[in-house]
Amino acid sequence: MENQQPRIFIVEDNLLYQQLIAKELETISDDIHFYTRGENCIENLDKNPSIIILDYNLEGEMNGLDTLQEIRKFDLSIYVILFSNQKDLNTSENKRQYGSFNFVEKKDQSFRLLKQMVNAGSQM
Amino acid sequence: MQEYRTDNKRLDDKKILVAEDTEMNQHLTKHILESSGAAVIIANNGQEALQLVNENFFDCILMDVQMPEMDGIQATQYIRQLADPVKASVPIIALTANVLTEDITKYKAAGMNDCLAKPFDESGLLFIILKHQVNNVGQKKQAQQKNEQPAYADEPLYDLSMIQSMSGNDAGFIKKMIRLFIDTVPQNVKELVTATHANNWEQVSKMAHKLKSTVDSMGIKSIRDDIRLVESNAKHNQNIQEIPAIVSKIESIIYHCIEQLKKEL
Repeated sequence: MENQQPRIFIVEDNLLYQQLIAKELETISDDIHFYTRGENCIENLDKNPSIIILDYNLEGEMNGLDTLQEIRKFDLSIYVILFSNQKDLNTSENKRQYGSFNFVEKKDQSFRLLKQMVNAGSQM
Repeated sequence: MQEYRTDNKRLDDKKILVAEDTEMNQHLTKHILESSGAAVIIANNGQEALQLVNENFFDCILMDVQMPEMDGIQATQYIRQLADPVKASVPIIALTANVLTEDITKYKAAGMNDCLAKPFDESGLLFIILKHQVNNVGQKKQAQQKNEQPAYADEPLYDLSMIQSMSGNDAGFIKKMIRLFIDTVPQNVKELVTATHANNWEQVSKMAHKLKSTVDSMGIKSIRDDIRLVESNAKHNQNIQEIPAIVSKIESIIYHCIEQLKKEL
């Protein structure tokens, strides 16, 4: 079955981080699409990703929360993980305002945690 | 003044940076040096000089003291703080009309090796450059005797253990990361430096933030704290007068690191 692998979007402006994330997730999926701008992620939502990993600081005009808001207008069921070093983003206020998301703090050794989170998401 | 006489072409193979804002002085100095066989590069102010030093190795810098943007004193202070010991110890000679004892004390305190009074003539200029070339060669020889190679050359500025462990030592992946670093980071550093020169602190903070995660993933520990300090100070408009020197250190470490990383490919 070809469609077993979840389609994952990685929205991250740091190209090294894109590769590190994809490397960590390679046992889960190799159907991974990369974007450095929130705008490009939104334009490609018709590819129906099941998981989106979002950085907060992005190229382009939209930040991660703006992008989340647009994602949620399109589809409420996409599993979104905000992957950022700004812990203060993880508030219920932000979830009310921009839409639901999971949060993984970007720091040393946090890729394992991100992988667990993606794993959880891909089994939903 | 017999001892001031210098043979023609005595500066063969020497690469000399002339930091000087007056066009006429630029031409004059360049002409004298080139007639003696030196390769001459001109910087119009201290900031340009600093950038050129980051990108090149010079045998000597002739530094006008009063220049727009960044003066010769400041530029010298930054150069003396560069991570690369060869660059940080380049002979710097002040060119100035102010040669009172207190002025000279100030130049020396900033890290200048010597001072040449303006207006100067050909023999005076060549003499003072050669004087410091001799010393310089002596120092290099001493360093070599103590230690086969300069210490920095052996110690990598990076630590790939994070990438290695994440990838299960996947050599192809590690090379891919190194290539990405080499291909993308100079642009980021350039933007950081440009924003710093433009006093655009919001952009400085943004670029420092962007570089932070890259620097961390390549394990460049010597600037780990510096880059955080720049991000935070620029963001909060604190101690911004310290930022240019730290950015300059970051720039020099990263370029040096790139040279080292190229050997891993």
